Amino acid sequence: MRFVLFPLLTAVGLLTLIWPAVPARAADGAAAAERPTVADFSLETLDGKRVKLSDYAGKAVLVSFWATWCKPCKQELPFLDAFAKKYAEQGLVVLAINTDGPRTMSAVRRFVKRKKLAIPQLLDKDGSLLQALNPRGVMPFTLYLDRQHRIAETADSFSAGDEVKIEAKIQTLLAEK
Amino acid sequence: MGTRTPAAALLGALGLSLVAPAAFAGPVRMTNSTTAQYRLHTFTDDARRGEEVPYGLLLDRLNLVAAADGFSSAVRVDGMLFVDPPALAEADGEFRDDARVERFTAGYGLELGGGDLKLTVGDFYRQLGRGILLSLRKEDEIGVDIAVRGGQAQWLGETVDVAGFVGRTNPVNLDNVSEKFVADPGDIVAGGEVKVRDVGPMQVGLHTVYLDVQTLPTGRDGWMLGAGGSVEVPDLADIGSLYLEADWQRSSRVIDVLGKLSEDVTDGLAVYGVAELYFDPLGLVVEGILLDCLDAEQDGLHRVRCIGLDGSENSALQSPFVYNQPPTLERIDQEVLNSRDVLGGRARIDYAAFDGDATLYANGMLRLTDRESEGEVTQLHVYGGVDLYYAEGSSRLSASGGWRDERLTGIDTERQLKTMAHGEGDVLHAFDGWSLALSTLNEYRTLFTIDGEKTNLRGSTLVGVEFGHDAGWMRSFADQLALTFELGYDDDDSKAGSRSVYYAGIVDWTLDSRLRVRALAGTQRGGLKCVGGVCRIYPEFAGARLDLITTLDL
Repeated sequence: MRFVLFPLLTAVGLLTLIWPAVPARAADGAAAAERPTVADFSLETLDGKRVKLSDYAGKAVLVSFWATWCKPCKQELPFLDAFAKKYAEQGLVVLAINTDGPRTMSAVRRFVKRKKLAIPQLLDKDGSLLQALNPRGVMPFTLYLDRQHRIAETADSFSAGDEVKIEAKIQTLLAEK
Repeated sequence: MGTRTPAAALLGALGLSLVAPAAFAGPVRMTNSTTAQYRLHTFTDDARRGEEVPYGLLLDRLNLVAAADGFSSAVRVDGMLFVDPPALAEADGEFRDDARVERFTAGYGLELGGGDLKLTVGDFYRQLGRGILLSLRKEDEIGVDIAVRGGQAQWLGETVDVAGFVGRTNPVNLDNVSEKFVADPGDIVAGGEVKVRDVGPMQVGLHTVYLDVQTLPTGRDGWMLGAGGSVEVPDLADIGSLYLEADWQRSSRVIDVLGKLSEDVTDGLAVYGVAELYFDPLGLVVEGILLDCLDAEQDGLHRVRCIGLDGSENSALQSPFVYNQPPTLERIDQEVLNSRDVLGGRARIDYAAFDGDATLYANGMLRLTDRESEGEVTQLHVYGGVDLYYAEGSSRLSASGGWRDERLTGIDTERQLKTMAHGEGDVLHAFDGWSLALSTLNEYRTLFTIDGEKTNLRGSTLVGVEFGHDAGWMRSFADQLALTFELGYDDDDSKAGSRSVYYAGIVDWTLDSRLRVRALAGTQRGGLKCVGGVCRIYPEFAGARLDLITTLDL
């Protein structure tokens, strides 16, 4: 069996090296049409409302997964909150998807309150949306969705200075028609 | 699984990745993680304790996700291949080559009756309330990811949600922590949930679950029927919030008493509540939980689970699957004594300054387990700390420390079991184009046994530098680069032949959003690690590891 499996797994590994060598698609209209679409989702918010992705039709949406045990996430969220305010009139929406489980759930509201975050806090209590959009389950993880809610880009970490990159990506996203 | 089946499954998945774009009439997102390891296995059984044997491992996880016109679909294929794996004793589980479609989900959503109807077939996750009766969540970073394989229907309205589901429990078969094979238990789970919002300021929920365990570790079967309700006030007069949940369950196990089979029926009750109050700049959180056996005739040590039910045996861990996850009141990285029979409460007060950029906090918890039995343990834990964000949020600092005391306070018995002092620190300081990271956690434990006291110092410290792509010299070859040195220590000498000091170097290199490479070489301390609120004991690591993570749109 190893003689069959090993080459197969190695091939998959090599694919991971070869594919990125292909030039990234330009963010023009044709390339945008090739982007994968995100299926509409519906989650409850921290304040007891129900929010759907399709509620934000025609808007560019940042979907950011976070948890209270993730320190980079907690550092990133205030920046995302500030960008949501700054670019709201240009059609930007940021949805924070909290993935805390029962053990840490009681810390979510406290953090949101303390940091005075205004972006909608959607609760992915069992990780269903995490599985659909972020199957590796890494955090922080942000999807940049264009106005048709197709995935334009993703980012799976946050380090000091990344807020500059995030804002540049937002500006590029909003510049698309 | 036959010898050809893994290869066939992997071939099928690769084929699927090629035809999927056409099948879905739209682009498919592919995320692939390939991990190659050369590592040492350290035997822990008496015969070979401390002996180290090298082996190789190749692990691949392929995820395909697509959506179009209300349909959504996802497939995950896992493959694991060992090179010269050590032969383990039967009780230690099994390193096994395997490849399989680990998760597949097909969903369809449509608007119906003023809400959204969502139908799901395949693998899905499900939690009821705060997870006291049922919590099957995505937790694959720590290898205990369990889904339900079956069907689910949800109707999600503006003010009412209704859901029903049925299926068999489906754990990830390749445990990425122990790297051992996990057989499917096939336990049956069915349940439903109704939630009504806007009942005045409240949300009211009702839920029920039935669990049928195929094979309990005793070799007998069992079942559990549970029901519960919750009330939540998200906004309590603009000064806080409130959540209350109560659950009841009846469970049955067939047990062997002196050669005779008999049914042991247990009723359990759970009550959980958390209240948050804010009077700026002060905040207060009060949380309490009761997990109780209603049956007064429990055995002396209350070894029966009163809430939740042990599932079939996990073949990798040699312990039962756990399908519920009640709140514990504990710190996230704290070993939890048990969640069978619990009475406890905790309070946390914090003080916020500098517009929320600085928070000082203190936390106290008192928790009793296996109450009113010979095995009752009283746990007291106090800790406090500070979280600080500075330099306009680009840098952060947190520090915390505390004290824990555990005492056996059972019937006619009182003696100290354990004390623990702990300290943690985390700093990320940003400079121009790069940042310095320091993270440390340390525990000093004293265990009290009938043979005397035994102390143990253990912990890990990581020091690293992170470069962003605005560091001019790396613009051409990386989006982000992090170099980390990890030092671990554990002077517990009860494991003969084990290390007491550990060193590892870690490189994390993000070329762009499509490729990330992570490499690790050296030794890492084993022990309890917590991710996402769930903790497991990790084995020690010695060797080298390379992870390639690719995300592509096909």
